[in-house]
Amino acid sequence: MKIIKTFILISLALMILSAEASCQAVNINKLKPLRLKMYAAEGLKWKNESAQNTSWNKITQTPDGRIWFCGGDHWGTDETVGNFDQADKYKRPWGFGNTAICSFDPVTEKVSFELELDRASAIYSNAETPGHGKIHGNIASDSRGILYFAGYMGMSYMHEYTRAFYPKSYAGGALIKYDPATKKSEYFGIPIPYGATVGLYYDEKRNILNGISPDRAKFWRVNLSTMELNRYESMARMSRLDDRVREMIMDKEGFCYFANDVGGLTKFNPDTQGITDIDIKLPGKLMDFRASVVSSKNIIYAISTDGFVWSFDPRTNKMEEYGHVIGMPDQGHYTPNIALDEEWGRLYFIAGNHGGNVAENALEILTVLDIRNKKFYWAGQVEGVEGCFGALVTKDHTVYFSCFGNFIQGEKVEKDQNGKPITRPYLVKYNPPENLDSLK
Amino acid sequence: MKSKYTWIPALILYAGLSTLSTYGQRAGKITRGAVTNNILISNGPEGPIQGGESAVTDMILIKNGWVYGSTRATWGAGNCHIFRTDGEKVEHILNVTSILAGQTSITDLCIGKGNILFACTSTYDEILDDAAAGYKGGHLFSFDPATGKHQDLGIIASGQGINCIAIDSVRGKIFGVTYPAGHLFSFNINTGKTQDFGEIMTPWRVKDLGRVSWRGVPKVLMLDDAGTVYFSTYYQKEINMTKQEIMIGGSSSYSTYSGGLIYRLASGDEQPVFTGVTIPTQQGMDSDPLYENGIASAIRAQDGGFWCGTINDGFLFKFNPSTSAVINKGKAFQYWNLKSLAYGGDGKLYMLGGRDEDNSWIMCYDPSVGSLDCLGWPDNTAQCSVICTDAKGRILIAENLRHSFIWVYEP
Repeated sequence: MKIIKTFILISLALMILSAEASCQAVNINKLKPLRLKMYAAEGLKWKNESAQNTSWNKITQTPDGRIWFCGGDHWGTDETVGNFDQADKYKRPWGFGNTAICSFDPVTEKVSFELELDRASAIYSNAETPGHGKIHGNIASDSRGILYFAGYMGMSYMHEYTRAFYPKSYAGGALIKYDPATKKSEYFGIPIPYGATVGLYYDEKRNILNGISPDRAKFWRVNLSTMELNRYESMARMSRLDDRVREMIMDKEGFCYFANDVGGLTKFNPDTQGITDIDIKLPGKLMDFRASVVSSKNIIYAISTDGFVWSFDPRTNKMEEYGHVIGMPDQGHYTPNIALDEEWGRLYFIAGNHGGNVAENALEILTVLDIRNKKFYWAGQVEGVEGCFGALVTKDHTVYFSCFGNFIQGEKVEKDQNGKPITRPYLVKYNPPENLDSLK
Repeated sequence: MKSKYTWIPALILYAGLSTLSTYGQRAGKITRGAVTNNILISNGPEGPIQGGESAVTDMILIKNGWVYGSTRATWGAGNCHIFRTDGEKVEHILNVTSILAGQTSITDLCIGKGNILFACTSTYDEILDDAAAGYKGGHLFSFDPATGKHQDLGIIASGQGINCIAIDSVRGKIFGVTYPAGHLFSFNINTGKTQDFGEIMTPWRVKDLGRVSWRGVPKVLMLDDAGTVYFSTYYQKEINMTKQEIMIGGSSSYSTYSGGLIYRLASGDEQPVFTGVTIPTQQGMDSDPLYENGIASAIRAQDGGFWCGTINDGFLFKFNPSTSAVINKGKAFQYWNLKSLAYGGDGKLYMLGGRDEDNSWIMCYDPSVGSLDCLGWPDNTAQCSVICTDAKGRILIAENLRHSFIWVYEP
């Protein structure tokens, strides 16, 4: 009898806890504004002014502690952003779209410009061949601190799908390897001609770069030892989304995962090249993922394009759901960033970003998920940020977000010659409290 | 008179607007007409059509009002299927691999007497390329949609797949082309006898990005009322080098391909002959080794002859067999590979063009005024291989992906 009572009590407690977790929702009225330290990207100056205005990339930390992010000018064939006009595109060397890779030293809090993508990939960008106006995928690194990244065009979204279209043909997402110690870059070519690169992961064990293209979501990989390129089919397509293909996952063993058209995950075996569908259903209406992080124990944590957080264990094929990032499951809330603190058992997000379906009154909410208790905490609404696409946690539990947002001088938001607010790419720093109850 | 409740619709409108998505920064897709439905062919891990088994190879509208379709397995998947659709739903009909072991692709469908479907099979190029893989050969088979009965008509050539077929119901013959050997054959439905007319395309093996394939093997056979079969193929010729080109110890000639030549095999003939016409080609490109010059699609024209689409240039042309005339109508897009044709309910000829790397462009040709039109593509991530008209005159556009959709286009 006592055992039954204990069982009932435990069951009730679990029910209440899970009910509490699933019923959590952000109270917009109680959210406080949050001003975080923002470190602007360097480089890409033209006429003594930064041409940068955007960042859509994931970030990485190298063994020396430096964090790597970037800033793109977003210049494309259709538009020139900032205090510049169309003529500047012709005058500026490496003109039509370019991106600067930067490093941030957490000790000195200094940002350093490292290299430009167009120059590293020898793209003579011009009216017919726009350059890499941004990075829209991962800046990846290996255990020696070598970096890998690829390009993406600036404006002209339609161009993602029309590919080669004379006279406006983006050459394609060039693959670059960069060694910060020697400052030497190596150009590996373009895996999908005329197609950009979005997801990008380096499989160090096999010396293979894995990636996907946004147009038709083609999965490809390059063996850097043999320089063999293999292209696979459109595995990463997420057809419930209108057209947005941005993500893939690589786990610690080098297996790759894609959200598929039947609402589950498709798995790629890097050794056999076998492709299988895992029999699970991802949460939310869109049943996909827009940002992911893999733990040292090889557990995948991800957030869907409509804001549902979930985890997946590849050993057991078990999926766990954590609920909606702002507790509004009927409201899509675009959150393309996620960071994991394994020691403290937390996930971090800046929820509600430019580029997707969002609750307009709940933009840029710094969100903490206590994984152990499945409990969300909302630290506040980040000021000055418009989009955040990459995040990571350092060993000292500091959280860094790769964002773009207002260009603020003093307390004033700077505007361009047309009266539009100027934006800049930033690395944004958040020092979370150890005790999450202080966020209540 | 003002109602005291006029604020209610305004409140509802406000509430609706406040929850509207702010998403939608891209445009494109079909510009006229409408894509009214998209139907997933794949059933996912539970099957019967699993991931990698839904790439559509062909579709045919039959008299019972259903469109029957065939699939091939992709990227290591094991089964190919026959399904049917009415533009509202997809129903699985037959796992062909379960009855014809080792066949992973239904490469072509034809309709015969009494509404019986005839089809041919093949397998992965990697298996065809590996003699040790032990592929026995592609089958011909029939399927009766009314009874669900199927009949294996046997293997045509040992170790060879079948690329395409055409059926002569009057004379009870199926014509086909083996792959990759490129032999033209006929199969007598009544006697079960096969006749090999020999090689019509010398295997042109290409290994690109680690994957092998063979170029130039005819993809389409056209059959007229007299029982004559037409196809396009290459002619390989040796060109003598000039004095300046010859190197000591080197060869004195090089071989070149001349593609897009239309051949015919008349009923009763033993050997195909050149008709004297070639398909429309950008001159100078026909012998380029990167340039596959042939017919990608063909359909009987309602006003006589055949409408054809070319592989590389994507030209639409009319081939008139009785006069061996080719009339180039040009192209409605700047891309390649006009790979599928179908008449819509509005009498216009609809076309699907583009390689797998390109958008799946939908175009149309209005025979009444002779105008070509580019309509756009069904979806930004669509990768389509076949179009077909359904019983309502709509255009069904089918994909060739791991989890394929059918897009329903209403002109």
